[in-house]
Amino acid sequence: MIEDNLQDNRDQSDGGQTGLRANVERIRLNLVERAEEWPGPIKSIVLAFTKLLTWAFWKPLIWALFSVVLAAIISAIIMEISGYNSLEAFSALIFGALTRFDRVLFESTPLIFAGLSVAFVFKAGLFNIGAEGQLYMGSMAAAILGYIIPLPYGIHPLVCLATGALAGALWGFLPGLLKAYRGAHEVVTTMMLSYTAILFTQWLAAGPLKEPGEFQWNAQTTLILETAQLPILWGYYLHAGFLLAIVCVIGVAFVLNRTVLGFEMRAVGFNEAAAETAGIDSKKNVALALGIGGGLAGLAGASEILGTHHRFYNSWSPGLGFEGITVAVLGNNNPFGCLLAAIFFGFLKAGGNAMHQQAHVPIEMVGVMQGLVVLFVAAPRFIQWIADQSLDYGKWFSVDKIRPISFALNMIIALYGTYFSFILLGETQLGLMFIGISAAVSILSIAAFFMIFARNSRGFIVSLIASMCWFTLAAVGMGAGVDVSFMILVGLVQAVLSVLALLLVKGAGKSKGDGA
Amino acid sequence: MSFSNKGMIAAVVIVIIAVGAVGAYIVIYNPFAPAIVDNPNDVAIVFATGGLGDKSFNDGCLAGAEDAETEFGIDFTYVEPTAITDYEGFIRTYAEHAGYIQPYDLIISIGFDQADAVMAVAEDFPNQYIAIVDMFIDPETYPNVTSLLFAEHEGSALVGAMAGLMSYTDKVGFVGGMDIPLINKFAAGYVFGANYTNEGINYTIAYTNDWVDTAVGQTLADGMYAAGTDVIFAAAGRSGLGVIDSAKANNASHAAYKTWAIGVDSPQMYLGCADTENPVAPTLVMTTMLKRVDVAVYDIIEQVVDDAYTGGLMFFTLANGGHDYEINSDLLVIAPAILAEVDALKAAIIDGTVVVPDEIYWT
Amino acid sequence: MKSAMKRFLRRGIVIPVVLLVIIILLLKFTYDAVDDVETFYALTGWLLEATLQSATPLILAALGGMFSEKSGVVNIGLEGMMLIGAFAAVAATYFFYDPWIGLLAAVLAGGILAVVHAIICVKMKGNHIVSGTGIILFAAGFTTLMLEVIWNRKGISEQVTALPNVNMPFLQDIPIIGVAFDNLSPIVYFAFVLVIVSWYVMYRTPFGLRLRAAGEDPSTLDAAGVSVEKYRFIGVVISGLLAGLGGAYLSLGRGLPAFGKQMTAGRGFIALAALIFGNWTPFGVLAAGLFFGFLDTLQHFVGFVPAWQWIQGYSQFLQMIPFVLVVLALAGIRKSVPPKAIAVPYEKEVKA
Repeated sequence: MIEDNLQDNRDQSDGGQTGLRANVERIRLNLVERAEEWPGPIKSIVLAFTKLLTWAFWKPLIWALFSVVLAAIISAIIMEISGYNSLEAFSALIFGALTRFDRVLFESTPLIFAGLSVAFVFKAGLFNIGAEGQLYMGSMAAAILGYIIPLPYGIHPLVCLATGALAGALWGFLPGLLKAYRGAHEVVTTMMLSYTAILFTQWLAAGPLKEPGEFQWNAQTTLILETAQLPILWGYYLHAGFLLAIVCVIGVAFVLNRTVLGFEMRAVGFNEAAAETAGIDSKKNVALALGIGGGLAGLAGASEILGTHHRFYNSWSPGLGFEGITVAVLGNNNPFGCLLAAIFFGFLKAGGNAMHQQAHVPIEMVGVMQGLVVLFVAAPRFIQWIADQSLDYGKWFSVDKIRPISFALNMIIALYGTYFSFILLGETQLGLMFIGISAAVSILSIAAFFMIFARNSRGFIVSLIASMCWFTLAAVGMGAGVDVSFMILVGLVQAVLSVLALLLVKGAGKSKGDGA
Repeated sequence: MSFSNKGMIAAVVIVIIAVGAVGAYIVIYNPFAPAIVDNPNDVAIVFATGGLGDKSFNDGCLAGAEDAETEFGIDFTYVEPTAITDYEGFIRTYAEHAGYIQPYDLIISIGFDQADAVMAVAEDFPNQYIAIVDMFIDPETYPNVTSLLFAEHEGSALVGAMAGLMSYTDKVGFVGGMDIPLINKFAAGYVFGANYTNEGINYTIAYTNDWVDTAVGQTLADGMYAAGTDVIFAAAGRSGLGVIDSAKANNASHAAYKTWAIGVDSPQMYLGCADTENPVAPTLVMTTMLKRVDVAVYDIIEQVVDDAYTGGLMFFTLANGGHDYEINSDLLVIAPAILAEVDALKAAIIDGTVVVPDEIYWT
Repeated sequence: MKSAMKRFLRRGIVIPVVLLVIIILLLKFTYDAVDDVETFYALTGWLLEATLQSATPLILAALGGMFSEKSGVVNIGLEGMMLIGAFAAVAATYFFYDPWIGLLAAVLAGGILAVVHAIICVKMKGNHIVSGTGIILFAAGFTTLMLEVIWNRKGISEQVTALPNVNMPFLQDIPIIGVAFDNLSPIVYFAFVLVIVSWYVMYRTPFGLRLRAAGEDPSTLDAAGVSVEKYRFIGVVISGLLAGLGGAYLSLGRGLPAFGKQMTAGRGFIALAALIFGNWTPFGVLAAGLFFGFLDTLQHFVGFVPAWQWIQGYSQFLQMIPFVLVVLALAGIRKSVPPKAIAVPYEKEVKA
């Protein structure tokens, strides 16, 4: 949250400076002004539309997109190094997901719930990393009610969902109470209770609630009654849980922004001490926030059981609660953002299958991408830094041509050196020495790239060392009898470029671009 | 601002309609749908969650399919699910054969825990031939499903007999994957066999409750070897490989006798050698209870190739070559007297004079 | 002061005493149940041995977590760092035929992932939990992907050469000790050495003092002219190195010397539990790790005593104990003292 505040400060300080942003802001204000005169429904539509013109709306979106693009680039590099065609893989992923859009929405349904759960709790200044356990509790409760009591169509799934939500809510309420009244840190308690819940449901499914039957040896509960199943909306998979998820998105947005409860929660999340002085019961809000968050996670489990699995299997969830964190993070903890982020991750998962079938890239690539996206979103300053640095380069280039170009050339050769050395890393038959030096080259080149990008002139020295390593590598390779001309070439180019750049920097004295 | 308000609204409406239309077009006409092509494969295999690399059950199935590939010129594809919830999706995807013109001739599901998934898909695709290993599915209700079953107790009795003869401490052990009737068939046969050749022998039985974690298998075996057991039969999938590892690690601590392990399903004697890449004698895996899943997979593919698919039950026993025990005299020479005794039991089981219990018969 | 001492004694003694009583009772019941001295010695020795084996990865990862958290950075990515360590150990051994190189690679791989965590948390002031989540997801995806790339398998890699176990022939004839301490992976002994080294580094060197100050009171440290960022960075990297070593033990030290998909199976989180339960101190971590390892072994142990086999049906509850204990500890059964400035990014005073 501290970093959020900092960013907001930055936004306020540079808001309105850029030409484009100022113009858009003017258009928005104009629209708002005029809309006052229009009849009701149109006015509200236009007012809603004007929100899309604010920087506050676009910033998280652009941030998220930037992270996704960076993650995609790194994933492409990993694929290339592993010997897959990244272009083919990405096109297979995108087209595969588009052609099976029902599958995309299906995959995103539990993610929406889980993401909402984490985001809602986050708004109250807390972190719910135990959504997985709440989800298991919810799914177990729904599965039990699904087969134990016969109820008419229509009512049965609702009862099951409500029970699932309740079970999850209780499991979230517990750490909430501990946090409010005993000060137990919710990150630890939710995580530990999550594992407790998983083990407890495992015991239920393997022990007392195990489906009876002579040839039934799996740890699973009895199939739920047909009356309890959620109807399929589209294709084989997409069930009515998706609609419920959408309703929840709207509901959570409403609760957060339009109700006293939501206001109090955000106040507690923003500054607990200030909220207390303003007469808000922060303890109640903390416990309630985790309870509601748990309820949402419980719904995720219940809807998956009622819509897809139709019974509780041991360890059926592939870490959905955990992925909820990624959804909330990418969605900037905004309910609608969570919806978009969940659909994006659903897109990746559904497309991952097509990618596997057509480009033969393992589905796990999707998990790698997911992790990378989260890592990049976790470091907003990294993206900020890249953006600032790139903008500075643009300004620099407009006053000076030679040095920026030499910097750029050095960065390109460093990047290429990294790529090339990564490929050489795979040539394990050449021996330990060879591998060691190519590993050193790749690390040095990455370091050189970032140092030059940060306009630190020591980067050129690192680059020079890397080029020396290339020559050593060539010498070792010569001994092993491989074609080394390419390594010498890369080393030579790198050496010449970095020496030139060093001379340029030195020649200009302390250049203004020097030192980050 | 020079543009009119109405123009703005119109623009918004147009954008919404355009987006909606494109969406509807994509949904209805599916312009990105991949071209439908010939199905390159005839047979699809859905492995058990233990996955390939267990050197026994799943790898045995793969070997059978590879034999069929070279023999009949068929092509096969496979997936390795990692959770029970994956099964139905994979089997259904094969049954749908989306993107391919021809369906698969046969889908082979490996492992008892796929039964639910197989039944669900078999109901929706009554013309798709599906075979399931290690589980019985009623052919009355699902005529398109073949159940491939084994008489594991018979094979286990043979290795049990050998264990009884080879044990120095008169203590044998069994490490199973799970306390379920399927695994207890192994245990029952093993204990029966050991008692047949070495009456009143001590036995210990433990379960890993995990098919993949080799550390659990090793821990259990460590405990048994420490308590004086010197032969352990591991029927726990990949987990069981830990038992072999434990046998190697514990062998040095006993001067008087060797710590033996017994492999399962596929030939595993080479895994008991110091270097498994280039196995040379001696080995600590005295024999393997061969459960010829490879034969089963090969046979069912042969049926399909010959257009003789009948569905129902195929039962593999000692008598029809579905079971055996491994002898590899390159790695380990076993006294002829012992082999003779085991072979005598084998003959007795085949001709029915000895009936091996197929469930735990002691209390 | 005196009452504080008293409280410390009470809190510090009660739990070990209770544990000791439980263990003695357990041993007595075992003895009654097996009724044979030889078997009893063997089982007890094995119980001890398996406890050490289960505890080692927990202790190593929790020690790592201690370095990170003492310096003020939450590291829930331990699980990911262990996983990548386990993978790197096997991959490097596979390519270079030497498990010691594998061990080195594991430590480095854990360290590299920790550098990423450190850059995000310390340099970029990102959210520690989010970054940790990303680390876990990335490690899980990356290791499985590489498993398939290198060995073309989904579940388990090919077998590689294991680390040779340490044999101590002079121990073999001592009844319980012989089974327990002989024939273990060198990493087990190493873990114990590391606990002592960590204690020394943490409490007896200026480096440890500064590291702890970075987590307790960063502004004072900064005022003293020491870079808070530097010490936090180092703390996180050490955590990655140790977690990587713990991962290497999982793949090369115990069980089959091969990498299995998701083979850490939540041990990183149990390590976090051990860290909290051990009150962020090296010897606390050691005790908690051994206790959790003991619980892990207990569920197998009961299978060997016929009278207790029914407990196996409830093994999930045994596995639950570490998590429940931590929740109880945090809820106030026992005082937990996390570093004060934990999870708070340190911002230098902004110059006007």
